[in-house]
Amino acid sequence: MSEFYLRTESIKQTDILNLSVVNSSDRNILGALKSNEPCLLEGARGTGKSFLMRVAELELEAESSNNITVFVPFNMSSLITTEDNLQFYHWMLAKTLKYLLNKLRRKGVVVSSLTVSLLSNDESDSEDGVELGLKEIVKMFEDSYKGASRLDMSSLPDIEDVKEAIQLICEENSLDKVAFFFDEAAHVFRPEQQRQFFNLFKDLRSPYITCNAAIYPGVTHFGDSFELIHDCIYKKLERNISDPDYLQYFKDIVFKQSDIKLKEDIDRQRDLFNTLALSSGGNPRILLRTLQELTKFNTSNVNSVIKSFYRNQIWVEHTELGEKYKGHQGVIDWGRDFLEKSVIPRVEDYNNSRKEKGVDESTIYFWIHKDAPEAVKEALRLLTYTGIIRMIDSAVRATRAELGTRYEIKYGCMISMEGSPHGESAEFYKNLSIKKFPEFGKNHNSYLGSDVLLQDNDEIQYKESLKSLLEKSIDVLALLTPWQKEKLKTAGIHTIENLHANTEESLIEKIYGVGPARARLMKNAANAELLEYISG
Amino acid sequence: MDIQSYLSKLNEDSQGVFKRTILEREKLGTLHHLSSCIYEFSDCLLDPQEKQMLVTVSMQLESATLNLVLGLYRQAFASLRLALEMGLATMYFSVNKMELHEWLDGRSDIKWSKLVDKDNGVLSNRFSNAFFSECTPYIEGYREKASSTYRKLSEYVHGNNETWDESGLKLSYNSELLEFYYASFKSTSEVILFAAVCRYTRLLDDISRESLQFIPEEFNHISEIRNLFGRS
Repeated sequence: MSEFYLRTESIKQTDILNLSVVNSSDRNILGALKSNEPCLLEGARGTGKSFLMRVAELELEAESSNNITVFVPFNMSSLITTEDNLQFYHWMLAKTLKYLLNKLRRKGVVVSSLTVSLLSNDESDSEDGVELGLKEIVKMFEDSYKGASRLDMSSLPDIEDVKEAIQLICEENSLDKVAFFFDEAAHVFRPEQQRQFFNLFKDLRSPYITCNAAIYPGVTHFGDSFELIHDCIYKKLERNISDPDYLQYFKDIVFKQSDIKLKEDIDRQRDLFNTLALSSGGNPRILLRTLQELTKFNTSNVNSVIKSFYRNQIWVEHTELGEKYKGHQGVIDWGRDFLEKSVIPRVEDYNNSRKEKGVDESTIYFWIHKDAPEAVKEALRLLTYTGIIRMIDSAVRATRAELGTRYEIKYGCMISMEGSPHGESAEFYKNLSIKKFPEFGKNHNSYLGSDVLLQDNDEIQYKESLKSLLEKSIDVLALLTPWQKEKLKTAGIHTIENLHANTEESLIEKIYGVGPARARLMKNAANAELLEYISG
Repeated sequence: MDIQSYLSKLNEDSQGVFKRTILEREKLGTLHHLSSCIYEFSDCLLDPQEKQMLVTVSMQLESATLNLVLGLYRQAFASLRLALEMGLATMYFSVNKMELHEWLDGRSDIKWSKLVDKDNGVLSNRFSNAFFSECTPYIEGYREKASSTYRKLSEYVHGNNETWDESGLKLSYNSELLEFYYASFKSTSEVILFAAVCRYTRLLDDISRESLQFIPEEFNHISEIRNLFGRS
């Protein structure tokens, strides 16, 4: 079988346009990404956000050499564990500006410090003040977050300095604009860092600067200062299986990467391909993956791949998320059970009963009451992140005029429950009706078990941070003198927790030369540190 | 005319090529960016001799480009070839200290055939298995790229007959040679950077790795490198 590109990062920039397939809604998104307004592009994993951003980048560059586009992937940094928001903000800024500097260098707008080694002394001294400004700023931020400098925070450049430095570069070099494209921008599952990111996203804006970002549905926390409607254009990357151009679109995507044999197979058995395409529910990566699994393009292989992927593989990935982000494991596992054991069987029953009655209606949709428990909603949000379900609309009126949210289950997940998925698919698809959906009310008994789940994310983080504070060495206690610290350590008291656990009496007993006054001082030092943390 | 007027005229011709070549801002910017990447990589090396060699390579690349913009095409190709040799030699000497000292003392030369030896050279399976085994599937491709780039550049260095006509003896702007240089430079720096990534990446701490932002940019199509630099 053909080898497919499953991730945009694997594709060389020069090949992107050759592989690109753009329909009218993609064109609409590209327009937004290329405009001067900041744009947020929301889409589940594998839907093609990075790809579209790359296309936007290339089109902007082709339109004018005075456009500077900067692709900024936020990789998993060691800083991901930092609790210091300012440090994180500085890290993001330093990274972003470094990507900008590299791009400017590539375009010949700035030169590196290598030139200092080559030019004779007098020439190197007169390095343009403007470039120096931006490089200096990057260095100061880097030193700050690496902890290398003891600089007072107030002397660090602020966002206005950054914007001014960029403006100067643009003016000096007749550049029209700098467009940033942030990829995997929302540090998933770390709400505080996501909020910092959106602060930066909002701050980094000027007549010369536009920011765009790719984000995931369901797991993005914007923070208080970010107003979704006013602060940006919001686009969703979704491909509805009911769209008239859906099947052709996905065939085009696959054909761009297929060898001759696969193309022939697909043309000969178009229906079979359509079943696979519909099963992926609008997700190119999933379609390519399922195609890649096929040893031969025939009905029995397609049926077995659909069953193995949509009954097992897709769930394994969802569960693995819980292992990666331990704090969410409970909700992730519960969500899987809820969907596999309650929702999907309900939807199946709904479909079966209509079949038995000879009614030509089928569904892959379900509805959840707007006042369902928070834990249930959280579980569903995480399922939208993985892409197993898709939120279609909220404020949908159901039975007894109650309001709730309507979701779509991935077509493949429903069809894989059949003995012969491909055999059933054509009829099933034809009869799909979005108006038909089983409902889950405010207090549905399937919600059982969700109540104990939800520990506030912040609470978990708080507990972990408190734990790490207690484990800290007594060296961090500013109120203790070096002599006191040494004495404590000699008595086997090394951490704040140890100190906290000892009473004044036991300190007096354990440490020679420590009387009531000193014992009180030592305890107070630990308490002060802990109190400051708890109240702060 | 006397010798000074003759050389002044040549200088004028050279300046003519310069004025035309310098209009290629993006191409020249890209070349400078690539040699700067090598320069920045040297910052992360701990051994001072290895660091100095890599710095020299980056400066050699810059001076090759200087030859190019002045219209001295043959010299540019020769310098570029030398940079390729030295770049791979840096990696070679980093694992062959005795030979390094023999070379420093002037008692032996760098041998290209040793550098690209299929079994024991710097772009061999043995090398990548030792230092960054996940890169082994790609190493043969880079070895071939190194050999073919070297061969093409050598045609100009040794003065194969066809190349005399192409590069000519007159100082004049030649867009084909410019394109050839551009492509060869990119291959050269890609090969050197790949060898350096293989050799050193696992030794770098997180902070150094983070500062080498250009590595995942240049090699983002290689998932193992992407992963090591924190991208999924």
